[in-house]
Amino acid sequence: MKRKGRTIKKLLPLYIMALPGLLYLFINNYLPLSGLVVAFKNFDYAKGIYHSDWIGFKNFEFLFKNSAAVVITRNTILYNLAFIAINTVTGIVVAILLNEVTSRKALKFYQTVILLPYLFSMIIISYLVFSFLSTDVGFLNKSILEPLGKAPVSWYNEAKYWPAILPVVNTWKSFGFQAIIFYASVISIDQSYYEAAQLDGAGKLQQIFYITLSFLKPVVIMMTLLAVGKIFYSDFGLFYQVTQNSGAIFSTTNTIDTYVYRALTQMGDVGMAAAAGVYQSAVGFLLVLAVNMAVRKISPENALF
Amino acid sequence: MERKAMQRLIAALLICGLFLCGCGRGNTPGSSPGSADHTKEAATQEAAGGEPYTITYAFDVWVQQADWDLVEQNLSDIVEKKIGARVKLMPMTGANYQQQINLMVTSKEKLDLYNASAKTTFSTDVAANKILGLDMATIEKYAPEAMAAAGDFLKASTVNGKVYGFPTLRDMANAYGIIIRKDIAEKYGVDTGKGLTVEELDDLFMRMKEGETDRYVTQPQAQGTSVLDSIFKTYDSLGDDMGVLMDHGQGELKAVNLFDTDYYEECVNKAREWNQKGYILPDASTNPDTGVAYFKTGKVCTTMSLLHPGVPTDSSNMTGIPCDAVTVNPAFTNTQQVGAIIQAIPVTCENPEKVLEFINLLYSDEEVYNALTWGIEGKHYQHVQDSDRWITYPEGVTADTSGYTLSATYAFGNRYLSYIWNTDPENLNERFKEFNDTAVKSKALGFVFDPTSVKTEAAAVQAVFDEYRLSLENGVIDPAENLPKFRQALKDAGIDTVIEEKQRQLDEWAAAQ
Repeated sequence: MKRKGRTIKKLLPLYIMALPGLLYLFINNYLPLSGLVVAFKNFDYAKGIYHSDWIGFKNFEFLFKNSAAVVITRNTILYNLAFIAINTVTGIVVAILLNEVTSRKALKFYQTVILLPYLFSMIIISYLVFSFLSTDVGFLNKSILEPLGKAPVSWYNEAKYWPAILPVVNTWKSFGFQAIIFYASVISIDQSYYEAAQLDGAGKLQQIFYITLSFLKPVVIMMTLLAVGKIFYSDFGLFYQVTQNSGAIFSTTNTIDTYVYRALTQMGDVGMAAAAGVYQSAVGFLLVLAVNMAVRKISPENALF
Repeated sequence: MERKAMQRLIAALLICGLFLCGCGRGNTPGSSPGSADHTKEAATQEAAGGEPYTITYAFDVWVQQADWDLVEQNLSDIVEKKIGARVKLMPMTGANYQQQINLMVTSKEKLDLYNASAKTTFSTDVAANKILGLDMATIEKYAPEAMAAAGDFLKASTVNGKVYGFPTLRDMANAYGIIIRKDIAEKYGVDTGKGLTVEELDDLFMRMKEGETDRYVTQPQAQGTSVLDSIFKTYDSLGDDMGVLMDHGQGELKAVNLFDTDYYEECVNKAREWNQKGYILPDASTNPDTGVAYFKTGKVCTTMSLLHPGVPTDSSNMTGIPCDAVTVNPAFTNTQQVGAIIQAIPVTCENPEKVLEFINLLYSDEEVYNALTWGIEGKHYQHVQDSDRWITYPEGVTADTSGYTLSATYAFGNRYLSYIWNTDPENLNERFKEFNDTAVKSKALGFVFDPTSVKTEAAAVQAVFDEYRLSLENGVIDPAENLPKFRQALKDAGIDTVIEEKQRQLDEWAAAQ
């Protein structure tokens, strides 16, 4: 009893320090949760969110109503899996390469350059992509296919190219950010491990494999878990702006977010939009739980909770 | 143990929060705002010589203006003299205008008037009780002149006998055709006054393709518009294109599936033909620069476009290239066209009567209308000598230095009251009036479809539209292969259910007329 009181006393300043942050989290992230009820209601402005009539799961129906449901779910998940895998691998490789750069100046330069695309707005990127893919003046058609004597490709109307184009664009934009996070953990590895390994005669590759990668494991798992939680969301800018909203390529570019946007902009139905959000977060939440459970089975010390 | 303490703390916070939630809800009484008590209160307060009521007016604009404050001040002074109210302008730009309005109404923020649109969510807004429905007697009492000026067009915002706002008087119809460079029109002997049939247009395109080797023949008006909705349109969309009236809505009131008709098939085949022959700018549906930006480069001869009397001057000014317009399908109007901008009073408004008086001024008072549209005389505009209509920049002010270049004649009240910028013909208002009065009017003008009961299907159909329509209607994909797929996808999404419901509402509406 006595000990417990002392602990609380000792920790009280810390709790007080955490209070503003917790309050912020509570007001910003938890209070609005009560608004989720709108997904199950027939929203009426005069009655307000809490007093509108209940209609059960009717708002969710449009998500599963037609054949698009399969396509959009497949696209969203497959693209996200690809993005997670590619970004993790490129991120790790680049982080390790950065670690081998010895000149401070060069290091600063590389860090800036690889992070730059991450800071671009998707609108700007969509124009960059368009300058590559435009049918009559695009770089690919004009400067590569034409000199090779090949017929120009109408990129925005050919669905089959987009499963390659989108990961390239996404990687170009976001690998720098991942690399910087991984790099931060790479440089925090104690140099004595490497020295010991060298003494034992380990080569560069062995050092990377047995030392760097094992130290990176917790960060990789954490980043992946966070990404898995968002696996039912897609980067709206990437799938809407970069594809120029071209209907002809929906079969490989339509995701849950773009589908919901297209279906509801005309109607402006608050309840249905909320239903889509609830569906995405609920599935994402379950996936995080599942993956975390799997991690706990395989390597308990690395599980997030 | 720390963990337990932490858990307790969080639990305590959560309980506090719930409590607060409850309080918040308790404070807002069940009675709907804008109800009789409320308004009476406001009215008596004012009669007793209190502060003048401030009308908060939100609307969307293309570009924010430097001098909003000055214009607001000036407008308020004028309005206060006339009806004892002041005006607070809330101009917003960008795609989230609609969302901002939603948030303001949901959170009961002060808002008395806003610009809604039948082209977006007006019907759902009415169904979801976002907009205050006013009865005819109230309107006749507080806004008689606006009612008279709007005339039959008021039908477009009237649902079940209640008026849900005032359509602004502007171009109430659209003709369909092309904008053409003046030099090209002369070169190919196009009589711009006469209009062209589709066959004549076909022939013109062919000659231009041969003669103008370094230019594309035509392009859509903007990214997202098509050959069908710029040139060929001869049907009343009845709101959402799910179930339409053919032949400008002149036949019987029967909602048909547009995409199953021969008319639609012919249109997409023609679009495909033009695309294959290289008349249309490649990537027309996806090129983000389609429209004005591309026209400016001088690389296209014509733009497919909706037309009204102001179009030639507008295009010439915007592109810097002298333009003219050629009509292919005649001017035609329906509920959505008339209701493209509706000045609506949200349910949260506390003094609808005062707002109605303000609307009345926008429809009948030249001083008020022009103070909002053109700004302050002597600072933002001045009259051209010897003309009470024509205006221009004051001495020493240019387009770049003026703090108010809104010139949104379409956005407020009654454009027939507007001064005319001296680059337009002095009789532009009369031309607009004639254009509006002679336009073919759909028999279903005034019918507003409420998709609430079939919203699942409507949303699914909308998603199918987005997948196929633009590429089909611009001839980007082959109709022989894709039209059957499109038709099937529409059936699967439930378009027939939507059309059935629309027919039911249409019959009901017709019976009530």
